Amino acid sequence: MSGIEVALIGIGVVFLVLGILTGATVLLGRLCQRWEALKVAKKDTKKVKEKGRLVAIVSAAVASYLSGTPGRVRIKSVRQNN
Amino acid sequence: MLIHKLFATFGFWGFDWKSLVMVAIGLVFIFLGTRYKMEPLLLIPIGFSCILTNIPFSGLMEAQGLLALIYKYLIRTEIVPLLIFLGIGTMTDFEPLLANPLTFLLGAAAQIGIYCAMLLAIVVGFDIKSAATIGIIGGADGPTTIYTAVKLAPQILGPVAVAAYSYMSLVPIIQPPVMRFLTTGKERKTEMASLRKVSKTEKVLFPLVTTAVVSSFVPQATPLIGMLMFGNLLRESGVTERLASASQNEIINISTIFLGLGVGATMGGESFLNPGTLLILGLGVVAFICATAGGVLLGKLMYLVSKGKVNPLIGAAGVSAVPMSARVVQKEGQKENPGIFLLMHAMGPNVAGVIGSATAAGVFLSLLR
Repeated sequence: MSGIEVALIGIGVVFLVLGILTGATVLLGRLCQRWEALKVAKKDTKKVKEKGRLVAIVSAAVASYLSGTPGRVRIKSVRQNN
Repeated sequence: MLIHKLFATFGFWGFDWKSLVMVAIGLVFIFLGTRYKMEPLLLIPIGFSCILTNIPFSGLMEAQGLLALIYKYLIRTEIVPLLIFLGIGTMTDFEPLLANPLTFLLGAAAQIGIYCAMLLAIVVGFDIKSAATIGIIGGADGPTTIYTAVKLAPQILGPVAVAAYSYMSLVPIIQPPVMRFLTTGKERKTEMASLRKVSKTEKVLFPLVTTAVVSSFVPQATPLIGMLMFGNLLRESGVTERLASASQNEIINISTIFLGLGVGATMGGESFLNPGTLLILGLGVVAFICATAGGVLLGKLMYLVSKGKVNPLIGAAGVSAVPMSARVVQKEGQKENPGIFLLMHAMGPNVAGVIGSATAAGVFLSLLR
């Protein structure tokens, strides 16, 4: 095998492997970013849901107090409208 | 008479001009390491081992001599260069590369120096295996150079290792003229957008992906890449602090001592003092210059394609002398634009160069062994 052949094959393989690694790393980055974003969104939704429920319960309790019959109101369910 | 017998074994009777020159070379290495801090962790053990090897009648390089055993069992078996790669992996932060994966290509372009030096070595009369080993100096990666030399041309291990480590410490002198020659002031002033933050998941998956990709295409590079990436996984997993600490402290320190002693042990006067050594040292400079030029030229192409968003200087850091060449890039950039901050951008191609040179070594081993 001549030196020129070795050099051409060598530089070709180096570019090929590092090129594939470039693509793989870009893909990895995108997938991880998407996954992280989903994770954050899920966490936020859960937080909002919990907050919403708390607001509903507090509102019901306030309504119950204002109606003059505290303790007589029972919250049967909490539904999110949006 | 016993006194005559003792007198006859005195070392200085055995000195010839070659061993005296080698002792002087060993002293020069120690001087450069201590006075100018030129790769002192390697040059001091190499220098001292070179002196020990050339002391007549010491027996250190005889069949059961200490240095011979270190060389035979730790260097020839490639254990020590690979353990050093483990430590390097643990110390390397691939975040700048993950944040800007295109810089992988700059690390690839800088490997052109390996092939230029190899072709030139063939032209001046080296056989192809020795030429490939000389070329690898351009990868600016000590353990990879030694790993390749041991496998392809162990007879030139000493000069090749000395050239690799000496020129790595001379990167601040070798690279800037090439960088300035190939770029314009406007290009060197280019500011780059700050890098994105990389998630822990990416950092943990990266060593696994890299090992899979490189070992699929170039299985001969698996020992080097495997150890590098294993070390990096220890670092990034965040749950193996003890192992990571051991590999980047005790293991790499012990390995460095043995590597230095083992390389110095190959520097006997007979094998080192010949015109070939001078040629190897000369070709090493060519390899570094071509590697820098290759990286900068691809950087210029990226500058054009990105319409001025990539500073071409960062290509010079594709020469994987980590972090020396990235620091040189930062310094050269700041000379043109004091407010510029290129260090992190240059670290991308810098660590890509480590992967690139290991891959190039793997290709040589696949084709020539």
